[in-house]
Amino acid sequence: MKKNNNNLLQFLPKPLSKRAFQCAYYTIATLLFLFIICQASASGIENNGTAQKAMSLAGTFTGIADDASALYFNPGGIAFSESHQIAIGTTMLMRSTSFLSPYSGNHNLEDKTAFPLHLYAAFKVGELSTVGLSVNSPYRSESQWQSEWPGRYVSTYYKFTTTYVQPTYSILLNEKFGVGIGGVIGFSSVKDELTIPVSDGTAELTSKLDATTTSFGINVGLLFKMNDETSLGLSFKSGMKHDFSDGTIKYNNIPSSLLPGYPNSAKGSLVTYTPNTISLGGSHLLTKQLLLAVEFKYALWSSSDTVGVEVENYPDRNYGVGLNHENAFSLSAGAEYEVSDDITVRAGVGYDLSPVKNDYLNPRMPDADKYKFSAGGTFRFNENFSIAIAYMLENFTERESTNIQYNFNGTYKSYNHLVGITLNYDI
Amino acid sequence: MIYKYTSTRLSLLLSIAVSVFISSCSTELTEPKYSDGDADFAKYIAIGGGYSSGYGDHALHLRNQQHSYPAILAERFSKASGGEFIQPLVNAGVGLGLDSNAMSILQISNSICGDPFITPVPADSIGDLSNATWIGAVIRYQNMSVPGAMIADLNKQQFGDPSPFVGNVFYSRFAINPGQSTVIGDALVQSPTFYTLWAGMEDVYSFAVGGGFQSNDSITTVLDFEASLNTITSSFFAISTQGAIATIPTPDNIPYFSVIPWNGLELSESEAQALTQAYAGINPNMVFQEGNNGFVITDNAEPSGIRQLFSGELVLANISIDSINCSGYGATVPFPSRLILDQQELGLINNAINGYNNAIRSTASNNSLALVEMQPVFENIAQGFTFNGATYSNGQIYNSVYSSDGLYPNPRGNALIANAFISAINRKFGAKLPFADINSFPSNNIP
Repeated sequence: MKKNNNNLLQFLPKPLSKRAFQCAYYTIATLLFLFIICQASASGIENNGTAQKAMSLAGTFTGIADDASALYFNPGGIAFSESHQIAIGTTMLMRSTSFLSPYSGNHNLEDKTAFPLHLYAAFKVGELSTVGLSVNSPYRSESQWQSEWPGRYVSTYYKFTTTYVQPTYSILLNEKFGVGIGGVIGFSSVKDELTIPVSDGTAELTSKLDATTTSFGINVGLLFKMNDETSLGLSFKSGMKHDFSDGTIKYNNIPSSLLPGYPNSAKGSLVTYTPNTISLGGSHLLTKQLLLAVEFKYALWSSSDTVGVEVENYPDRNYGVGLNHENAFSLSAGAEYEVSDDITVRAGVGYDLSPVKNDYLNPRMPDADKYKFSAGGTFRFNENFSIAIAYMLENFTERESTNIQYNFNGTYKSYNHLVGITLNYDI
Repeated sequence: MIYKYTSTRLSLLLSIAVSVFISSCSTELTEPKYSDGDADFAKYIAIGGGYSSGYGDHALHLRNQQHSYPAILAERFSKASGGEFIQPLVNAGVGLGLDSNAMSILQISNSICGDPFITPVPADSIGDLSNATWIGAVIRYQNMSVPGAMIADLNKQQFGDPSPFVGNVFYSRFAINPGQSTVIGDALVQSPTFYTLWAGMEDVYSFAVGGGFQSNDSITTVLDFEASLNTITSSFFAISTQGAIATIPTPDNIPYFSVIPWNGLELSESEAQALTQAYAGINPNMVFQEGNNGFVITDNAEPSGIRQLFSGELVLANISIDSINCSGYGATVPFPSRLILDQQELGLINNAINGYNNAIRSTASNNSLALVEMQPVFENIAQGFTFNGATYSNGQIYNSVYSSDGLYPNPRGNALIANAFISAINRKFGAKLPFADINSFPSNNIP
């Protein structure tokens, strides 16, 4: 074992703490092992894996905001940065969802694993100013159901992904106040597939919509360092209207008698929304080693009522997916413990209310109130380089629903596992 | 030292994490425990006519028969105490209809004057007569439903007589002793623990489907029906067989009688004027207006022999819609009265149905049978409904739960009927059976 370590050591840039290395080694190995024994699929509209430090604290980071990922979580925090920082990483998203049909037992979401990347780069451009760039995927949802499942006339596949690119400017107003503002360019894509209850005897008609768009928003944040121990953070992320006006909708297995009413391919459009969110967080250094943090987040989902799909020149093919979301809050708390100069461990818990009303729960996004449990740590290899790893379990409460639009009844249960790594480099 | 301490802690935390993780792998939910309650589905026998046999698309053919409502029920029974269920399946292919015809399939037909339209056409010039071959020597069949069976036929020996024009081929082909045994006798000999009975449809619908014109298919009197019914139910009662019995729905909710509305004659102002003028000398009561009008029919009771349909009268679906749209059918060319059910005929039909249903209800209560009220089921279908994202209605052939004949259900319709039975059985016997997923069954094949 020792020999192995020594071999591996040669590949790392600078002399590093053996202890940090071993911890990192075991932890990564364990997480990898866990991943292998528990393959599942990806999803959850809000992606909590956009940076490992925040993830290991169950997302409690608005009132801490002390690394490069502050660019996204609270742009006010990055103003306090004393160095240039670059962080790059990925989080493996694995979701498993079961649907219990009152008619035919369990139907499981098919396995999909996603690895959305994140990149944060912040540069000091003067005593007080920092500019930065944040690239991540804060919203992401993917649900692939079996083609013959009882809900196929509602949805067989839905995928919504975002990549938010956010140039940011941040400034220290005084030694206690940092503010930051970022313009967000959102590149989003959507796929919506379902089966239509018409068959020529061999296969049922299917509809597939595919679209991408670019949207814009802002992200502003404020970090107030009351004293050496206590900080308060406030951030506002604007919602986005994702106007997919130039998509393509395709129909397959069209019976010939229906050909006048169904195009093989046509221009399809839809509009969907992500919410305005307000986060308020605080952190307090209890001892030299122990930091505690809490956060309250409010997401104004109620602006999204219906996702309306329009098919150009074929108005009879238009369909709407009723969402009727309501505003939802989430609460979280996290603790960070500095074991040594090289090792910091973290844990967090959180509770998210679902914005989806029971009558509108849809297999495209089988959401529910959820508990979040997370753990992770940072292993510092030298003055400049550190690795943060994190694991989060999102435990969705079991939820029975009858969707009133589709008269679709059943019970959903989901777990979401997130395992990630972020490499940080400070100069 | 500090390192050792930390590492022990860490491994402890990790092992906790591992166990949490592993327990969070499976999201599978526990299915409810299904049970038969006070009922026993070990040996289930289905008795009835065409609706119970799986008849559809103008014939008894394999696909519909495999998804008869008794077959769907038996599959649901198997979630509790139910065993296997054997049906007298016909050969794959075009099947066999009551007139020795083949099943119908939906095809695109060219219109005389407009867009091509979908219409049922026979899949072959004659049905598959090899289905008449006797298959009752060894196997005992549990779906004893026979297309064309009047309730009295179920206890008649000659009903199984294979000689031409004597019995019913759909029974003689699987009767234990053709010409000697009876449907009920063949059922009882299998010692059923549970039976379903939906008889009486043919007793009134043979008349209705023929437009009330065929004298040899006159409606069974309520007294005769009641007598036959009591014979059947008491013979099952005598061997302590539990069961469920269904009532008879009225024709007005069935597409065959309702897709063409009585006032489906749509006219422009000038067409209305022209038609009023054309009939002025024949029957001055016939006045047409812009918009919807009652169709023109022949009626011998009228002095002029011609009148317009009254509200509530029913037009049979075997009138070609294309002839209505393109050839002045029901306007300048009156419908023959054999293609409509007039008020008098509907009176006979509805009186019989009322009488049958009262008899069925009292039999159900006297014999402790689960009672399945069919009228609400057919009304619900007629009004249209959404189930798991699919919207069904009587008006369109795509999303219909009826087969291409518009009279008998397709497999999805059979699933709805099975669900009505399940609901009644769960209620009566305290059973806990899951309903059938309508959408999991085949629907009509659209060309």
